[in-house]
Amino acid sequence: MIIDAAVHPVLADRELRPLIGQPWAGTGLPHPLGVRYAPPGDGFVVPPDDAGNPAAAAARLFGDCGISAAILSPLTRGLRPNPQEMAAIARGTNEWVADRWLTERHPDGVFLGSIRLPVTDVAASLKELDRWGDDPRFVQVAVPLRAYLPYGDEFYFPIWQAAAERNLPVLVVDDLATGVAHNETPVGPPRFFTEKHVLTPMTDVVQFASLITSGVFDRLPELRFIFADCGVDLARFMVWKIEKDWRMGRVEIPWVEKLPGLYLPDHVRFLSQPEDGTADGFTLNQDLIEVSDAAGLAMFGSRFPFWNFADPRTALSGWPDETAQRILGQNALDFLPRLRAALPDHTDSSRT
Amino acid sequence: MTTATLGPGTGSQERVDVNVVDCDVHLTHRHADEMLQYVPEPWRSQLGARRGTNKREAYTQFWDPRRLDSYGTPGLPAGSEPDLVHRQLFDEAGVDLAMILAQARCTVDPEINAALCRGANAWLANTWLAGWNLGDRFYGSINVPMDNPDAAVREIEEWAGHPKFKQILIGHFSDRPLGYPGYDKVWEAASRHRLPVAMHFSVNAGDPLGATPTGRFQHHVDYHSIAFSLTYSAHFVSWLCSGAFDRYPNLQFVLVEGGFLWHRALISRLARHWKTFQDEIPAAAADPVSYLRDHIRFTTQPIEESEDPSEVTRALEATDAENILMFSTDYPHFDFDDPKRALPPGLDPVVRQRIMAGNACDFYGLPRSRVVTPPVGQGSVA
Repeated sequence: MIIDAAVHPVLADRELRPLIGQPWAGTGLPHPLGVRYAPPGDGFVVPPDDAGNPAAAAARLFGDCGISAAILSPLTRGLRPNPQEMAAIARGTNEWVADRWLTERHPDGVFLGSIRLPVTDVAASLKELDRWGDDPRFVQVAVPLRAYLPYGDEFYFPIWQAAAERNLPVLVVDDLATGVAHNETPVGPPRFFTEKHVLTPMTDVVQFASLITSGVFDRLPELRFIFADCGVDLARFMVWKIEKDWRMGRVEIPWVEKLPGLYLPDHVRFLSQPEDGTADGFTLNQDLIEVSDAAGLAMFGSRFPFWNFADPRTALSGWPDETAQRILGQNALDFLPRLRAALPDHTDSSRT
Repeated sequence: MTTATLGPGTGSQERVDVNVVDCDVHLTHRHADEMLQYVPEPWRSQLGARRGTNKREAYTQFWDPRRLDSYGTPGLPAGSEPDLVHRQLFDEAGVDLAMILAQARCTVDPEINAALCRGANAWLANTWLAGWNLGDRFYGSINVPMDNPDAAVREIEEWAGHPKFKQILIGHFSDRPLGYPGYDKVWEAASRHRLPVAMHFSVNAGDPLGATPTGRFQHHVDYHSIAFSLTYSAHFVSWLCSGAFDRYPNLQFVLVEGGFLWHRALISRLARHWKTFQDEIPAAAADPVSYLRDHIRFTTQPIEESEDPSEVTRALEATDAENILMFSTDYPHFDFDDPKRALPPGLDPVVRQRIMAGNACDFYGLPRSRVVTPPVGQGSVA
């Protein structure tokens, strides 16, 4: 069974406006992909009108690619300076997903949702969680990669606590638009989309390190995070560095009583990246595949309809069969507590 | 009694092979005035209590940042006394040749920074690269202020002909990733003089301490383990994409103390999409990996470690450490890596030799043998 853990339907302005109410509906909305960097081509592997169309997505993902369940995480136009605006966009996005994507049944697969949270405002985030948290069609929450503070900060703790209580893992995904987020690197914005894309995983490292060193997983044993933009190789190499400093400096974070890397199996997954397991972008290296524990920590996400769409029929070609099977489906089934129950009977076992 | 200067050279012609080259040694001056006397006026007189050369704000560290045994004469800084340094680095650790990175601690004022770099370079040239360089085992790095590119070029021109300065030294911070065209004049000068540019993390008055793309690090553990790689990666990718290596064919960089293995995950990500990105980036090479061996090196300390050391061995052998990784100790810092124990067990002997000495000798054009100097306390070192 193939589970696609990262589908990013694009909510166009014309559909968003009626959903977000005034005064926001009458404003010039921020660009869905941001304006600072331009992705290759027009940014999509389908005509732009199909980037937010459930029928087009179902045909590609369920029909062509054989995906059984696709978890939707539309982007929310970056951090907005006004928290009410950001909350309105998240609220409208969740309504759009629920009404437009999660209602209709498809013969070959099922769409599932992520509850988008406006993380600059804890109360507004909890409100969205309360609104959708008991709806079985939503199987996780989603937050932007870049926030004002690293996610281990106490500011966010009530959000993580509420997510953990409802068995909802947290997807961390690059929201592409910069808005009022910090620069893409600590030494200023890069010149090119290329650089920005290549460097994005380093911010995932900052986030999972913050969650571990702040003790969030110690306080919330059920909390789970999924990082959409960081490969398992980078994660492993940086975990080694974090562990080394923990051995020397743990007096500062005494609540972290075990090696930081030991938090990963219970609490963290990484969506597979096309360059995983290679030292040159293409050639698979068995040592890297094993050292990174890709078999245990990676989950497949296609990124449909974005330019870097990964087709599950070819994305893991050359990988050891058992590892590929785990990444394509089993790891998601094991990690998302609500996933199996959300699958309709007709997709549950017949395609395994 | 500790003296400032070593005795005369040994006069020995006996030579031994160079087996360990240390690419990151932090030596300093015993007193501020030892260096400040080389800072030009009017800046020297302006460096008071607050605009000093050694003042910085930092993450709270819970231990002494230097090896406790690297302090000699009470009151003097670690790494400031020639006899102790020679004994610990050369006699005890077994380092054959060492690259000194004596970083100028810069301020928020780019003019003062230029003066501080000039002073630091002149001081180094007159101390560790002169009378304190018994057996010619030390090489130096030219401090340049990257917030003042014109002054950086002047500094390169001033010292490029000095036989003991083997590289240029810059900090990790800049307003834009360093492939940005505004910095090109520095790279032009470096390339023309065939001087590699070493980047070392620096905490200067103008840096946004602990900045990340998602706010500031909150603990020393994540700051110290990630900040180096986080900023280096921005420059590394910027250099690769910007076409700098096409414009300046002799331009080379060394990323010091920032880790090694992370680079491979990012270079593979870049390589994977390189052709897709071609419309956007000026770089001419067919793939970014091809730039690495010619243009970029990394140093080992702090060496990556795993609970299962064989994993590090396998990772190093999978990521071309054989050609682009160079050993370093970070003496006299607390997380000093001992040459005898730093690399993981089971590493291919050829790879090990290349990392410990071969890569650095090739990269810097260092001699393959050195004269024998007597151990400290047995003759020439007073």
